[in-house]
Amino acid sequence: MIRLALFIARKELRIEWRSRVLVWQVLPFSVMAMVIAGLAIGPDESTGRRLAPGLMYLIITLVALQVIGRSHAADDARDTAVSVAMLGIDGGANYLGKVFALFAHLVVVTSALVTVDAVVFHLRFEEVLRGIPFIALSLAAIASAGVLYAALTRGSASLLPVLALPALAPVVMAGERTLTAIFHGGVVSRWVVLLAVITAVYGALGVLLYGAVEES
Amino acid sequence: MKPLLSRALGPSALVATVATIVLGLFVTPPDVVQGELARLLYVHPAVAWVALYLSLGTATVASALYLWPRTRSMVADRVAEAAMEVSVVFVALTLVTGSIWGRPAWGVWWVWDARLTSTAVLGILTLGYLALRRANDDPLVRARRSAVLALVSAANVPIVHFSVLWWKTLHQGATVFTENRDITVHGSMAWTLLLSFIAFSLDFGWLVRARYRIATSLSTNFDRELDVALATRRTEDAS
Repeated sequence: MIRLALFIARKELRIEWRSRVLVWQVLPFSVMAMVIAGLAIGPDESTGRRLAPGLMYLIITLVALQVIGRSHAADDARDTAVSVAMLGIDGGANYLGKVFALFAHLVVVTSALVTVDAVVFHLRFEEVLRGIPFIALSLAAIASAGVLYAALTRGSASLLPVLALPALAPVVMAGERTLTAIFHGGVVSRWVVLLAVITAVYGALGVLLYGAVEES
Repeated sequence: MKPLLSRALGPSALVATVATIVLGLFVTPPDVVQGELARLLYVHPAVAWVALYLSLGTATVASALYLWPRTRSMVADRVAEAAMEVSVVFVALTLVTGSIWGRPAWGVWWVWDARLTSTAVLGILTLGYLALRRANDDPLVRARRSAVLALVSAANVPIVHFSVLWWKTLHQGATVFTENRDITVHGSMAWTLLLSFIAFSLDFGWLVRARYRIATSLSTNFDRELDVALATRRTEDAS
């Protein structure tokens, strides 16, 4: 299953590499959103440092909504879903492949976003470094939930935010609390457990149910 | 002829609800600490029980039955839809009654508390379920996708349930099912509380049954209209 998933992920990444939508459209949007957030907050360093984690997760969520639906939209445009179904590719492997690809996309965007966040809101380098594993875990949670919701809302793109935003709310909350705890002191373990559980639950549900959604 | 159980559901729901209102408002004494405000105890927990456990549990089981090939039928899909619609109403009632209690008790209508927030998120997810159903015209696609969403939404119920244990919250913990079985409600208050759970559960059953019948009628009408349309088309083609 993992080999097949990696194959699907490679296909997704190749499509992205050819279209360059992530680099030329999504990345500039995310950076601009962060800069505008910095302008809105103003020059006060302590306010910026306090709000930085929340703003970063808010923008990650908005970016994720843009990226999540793209893979399925591309599939629909080329009738790839039909080809995948006719090839008899396991739904779970297809799901995991899309999750891996979406995770990679989110890592690229978030890397730029974290850098801008650190510069605009005066975060310390070592703080940001300590936060990276937890940010990666949040991205895994967003990717595992996002692919499932994108499949469910296939054909009605305006429905994706309606379903995905409430589902991603616990991820945003746990991610923000984790980074706040790292930057300003506090316990992270509880939030990390929540992020891990969300990733595992959505991952398991996705592997089990994605095939049923795609069949429809 | 309808089965006896089905016929008895409506009257028994009505009797139990009226009895809960009478006992809750006029028979039970006011609470030592909270006074008259404690009478919301006979509404809010029972409404939350229906919203979070009974209706979402019914929708989850019905959705799982739909997804399982051996038990797949449109009956399961309609039951899931009916239960989810009722859940939306009861989640809203849970938040409203909680808010009415929160204003005098905490001094605010709303607070970003873990239990409240997670319940609101679940409410939005159930609304999303209804939106997803309306976004798909094909009954089979609609049934399959909404069944998956119901199962995914159900995964949020443990977050709501354990939120009062996992995080420091303003919302109180369990009153009856406490960790050390130390029940903190007694006498007529305890019996009325139990009756309220029975009454709202019966209300849920009656509402789901009514909604299920509407869904069945709509489906039958749709099939009939489709048959008429096809017959008209065939007649037009033949002539």
